[in-house]
Amino acid sequence: MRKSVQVPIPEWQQREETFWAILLLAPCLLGLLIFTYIPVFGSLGLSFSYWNLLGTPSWVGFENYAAVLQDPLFWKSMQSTVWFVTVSGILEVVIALFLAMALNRAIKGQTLFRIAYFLPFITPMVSVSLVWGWLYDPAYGAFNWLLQQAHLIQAPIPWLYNVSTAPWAVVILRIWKDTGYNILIFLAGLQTIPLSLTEAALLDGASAYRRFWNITLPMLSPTLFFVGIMTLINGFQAFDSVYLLTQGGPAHSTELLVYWMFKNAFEFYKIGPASAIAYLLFIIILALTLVQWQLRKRWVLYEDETA
Amino acid sequence: MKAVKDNTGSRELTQLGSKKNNSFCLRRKDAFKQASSLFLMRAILPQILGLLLLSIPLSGCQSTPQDTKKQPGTITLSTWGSQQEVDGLKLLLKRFEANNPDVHVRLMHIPENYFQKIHLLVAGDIAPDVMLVNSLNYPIYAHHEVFKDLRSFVKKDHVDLKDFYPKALQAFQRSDSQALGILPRDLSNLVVYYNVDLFHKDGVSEPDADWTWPQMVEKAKALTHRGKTSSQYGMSFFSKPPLYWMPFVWSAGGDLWNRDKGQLLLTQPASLEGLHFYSDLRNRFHVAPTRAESGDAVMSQLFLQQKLAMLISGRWSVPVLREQAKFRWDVAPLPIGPSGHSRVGVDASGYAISAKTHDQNASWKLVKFLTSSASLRAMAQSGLIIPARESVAQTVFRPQPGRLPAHGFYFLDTLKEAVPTSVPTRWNEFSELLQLSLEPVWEGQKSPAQALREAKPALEKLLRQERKK
Repeated sequence: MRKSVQVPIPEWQQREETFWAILLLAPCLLGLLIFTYIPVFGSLGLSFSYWNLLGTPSWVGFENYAAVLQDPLFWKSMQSTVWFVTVSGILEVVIALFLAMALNRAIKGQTLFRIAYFLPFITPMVSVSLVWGWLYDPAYGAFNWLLQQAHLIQAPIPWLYNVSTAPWAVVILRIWKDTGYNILIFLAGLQTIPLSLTEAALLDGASAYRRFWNITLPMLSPTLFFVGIMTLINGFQAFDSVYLLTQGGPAHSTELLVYWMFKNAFEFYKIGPASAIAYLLFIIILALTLVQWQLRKRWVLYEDETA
Repeated sequence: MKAVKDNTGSRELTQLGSKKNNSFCLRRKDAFKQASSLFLMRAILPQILGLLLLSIPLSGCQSTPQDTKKQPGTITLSTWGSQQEVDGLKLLLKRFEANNPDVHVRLMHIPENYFQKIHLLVAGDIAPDVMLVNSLNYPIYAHHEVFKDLRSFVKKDHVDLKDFYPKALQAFQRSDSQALGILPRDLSNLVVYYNVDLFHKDGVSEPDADWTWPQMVEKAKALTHRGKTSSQYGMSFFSKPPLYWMPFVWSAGGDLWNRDKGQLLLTQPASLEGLHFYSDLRNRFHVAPTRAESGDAVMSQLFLQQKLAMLISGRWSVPVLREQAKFRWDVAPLPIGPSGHSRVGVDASGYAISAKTHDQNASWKLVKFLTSSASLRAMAQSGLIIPARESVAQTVFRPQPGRLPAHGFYFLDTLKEAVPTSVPTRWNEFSELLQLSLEPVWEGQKSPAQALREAKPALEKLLRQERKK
C-alpha cells in the first residue's frame, strides 16, 4: 500500500517550477490575451463610441445602446433568435437523448450508427450550408423532389424564400448538424448509470417509462445540465448557416442576432452599435446561464450528494 | 533541509520506501536538480529547436505590403472581376513593367466582397497603393480623405481630362471638395439583352429604339410559357440592388432622393408609378419569375439556358455571352416610360491612389497607364467595359459585321440621357433598409405606396445625417 505524504518543497524549487509553468503557458496565454481578452475589453469601450473603422473613435456614451434598443430591426432579430434558440435547443436535446438511448444498446452495426450520427458534427459548416442550399432549392432541390415523390406534399415548398419556411430550414440544418455532439455526451452519461439500479427496477417490475423517468433521467441530470447550457450558448451564436443560406432571409426573418451584429459591423461599418449588440447578447447569455445555475441546485443530482 | 515555516508550498509525494526523512529530503533535492537539467535537455530543448526550425519556412510565407517597402518600386494594385478580366489585366501589367523596369506591380485580386476587404485594409493602414473604386462606394472614402488628390499629377503630365466622358468625372464629384480622387476607367449603364432565336420562334418582333412599356409587356407575355417540367419567362427580375429598378422610377419621371433637402423622393406619384410597374412584371403580368420559381438560379444563368427571353444587364455580360451563348442575341435600350424618356443610371469606376502610399510616383505612373487610350482599348476589346474615354469608345463601338451585339451602339446612345447615380455616404445601410422595405412589394404583398410610407421616417433619418456631414 502506498501512502501519500505531504512533503514541503524548498523555496528555490517553488520559484523554478513557477518559472517553467509561466514559460510553458506563455504561448497559450499570449494567444488568449491578444485574440480574446483584449478584443473583449476593446469591444466594451467601442460600444460607447462612434466609429466606422476609418478615422478615430469618439465617445458617445450610452447613445449606441439607446439606438439599438429603439431599433425595431434589433427587436425583430431578438425575436427570431429567441424562437431559434428555443426550438433548436429543445429539439436538439430531446432528439439527442432518445437517439443516445437507442444507440446505447448492443445492436449490430452500433459503431456504424454512432459514426453516422456524429459525422455531421465534424463536417465544416461552410460546405454543409452550400450543399443544403442546393438541396433546399424549390424547383430543382432534392428535398422537394423526394417529398413530392412520396406524395407528402403537392406544391413545392419554397424553403429559403418564404418568411414562414426559411427559419425552419435553418433550424433543421442546425439540428442535423449539432445533435451528434449531444448524442456523444449523452452516451457517455448513460454509461455511467450503474447497472444495479436498472436491474433492481426491472426486478421490481418497473415499466420502461418508469425506468426512464425515475432512474435514467435523474442519473443523467448532470449531463443534461451540461448539454443544456452548451446547446443554449451555441444556439445564440449561430452565424455561418445564416451567412451562407439566407443572408438574413426573406424580409429579415432569419436575421439572427450574431448575423445582424456582423452586418452592422462589417457591411454598414457601424462598429459602435455592433459592439452594443454584442454586449447585450453577453448579458442575455449570462442571465440565462445564471438561471440554469440556480435551477441546478434543485434539479441536478450528483452521485455523491444525498438527494 | 529548510524549516517548514520558510517554505511557500509543499507537494504531496508518495513515499516509496522507509528511509529516514533527512536523507530522503537531501536526495530528493539532488535528484530534482538532476532531473530538471535532464528535463531541460531532453524535453524542452528539442521543442525549442523544433519551434525555431518551424518558424523559418513560415516567415517566408506571407509577404505583407509592409515588405514591399523593403523592395524599392513594388506597388500593389487591387481589382475585382472574373478570372478572364484578371488575365487580361495581367497582360497589361506585363506591358507596363516592360516600359517601367524600376516598378514591380503586385496584383491583389478580390473576387468577392471587394469593398468589405478594402475597408478593412484601409482601416489597418495597409491599403493597396492603387485601388479600383466605383462611384457607389467612393463617397465614404473620399470623405475620410483616403485617396490622394490627382489634380497636381494631371496638370504636370498634361492628361487631357476632356477626353473623358463628362458623366464619368461627374460620378466622382463631391459637393464639399474640388479634389479629383480618381481617374475613370469605365462607365456602366443598363440595356435589355434579348434572345433573337426565342423571339423568332414565338413570332415576336424584335424591340427597337422607341419601344414603350406597354409594348415590352406585350412582347414579354407572348414569350412566357410556364410548363410542368420547365418554363420560359419573358423578362428577368432583380429585386436588388436598386440599380435594376431605378431605371423604371426615372423613366416614369421620378427619382430616389433630393440631395440638397435630404428628402426621399420615392414616395412621389411618378416614382410610385415606376415601382408599381416593376412589381407588376412579377405579380400582375406574370412575365417575370417569382423568387420561388427561379430559386437559386441567377438570371444570367437562366438567360444562357434559354429559359429567359429578355435580360436587363450591363456591358459586363458581353464577354460571357460571346463565349458561352449558343443562340443569337442582341441588345436594345430600356423601353420608354410615361415620362416620354427611357432613363437608366450610369455608374463609373476608376483608379485611385491611396493617400498613405509609400511610392506616389510609381503609383501615378500605373494609374496613368491603366487609364490611357491604349489600355482602355485593350480592356474594351473583350467587350467587358464601356471605356471612359470618348475617343476610345467611338472606335470600339463602331458596328462590326459578325460581331455580337449587332446593335452595340445602344450602349453609347443610352449614355446621353443617363442619370449619374448619386448616393448618400452611408449607401450600404441606406440601400439595405430600402431593399428590406420593398421586399413585400416585390412579393406582391404590399403596394409601393404603403411600404414606403412605413419606411419613410427611417430612410429620411439616414438622408438627413448626410447633410450633417
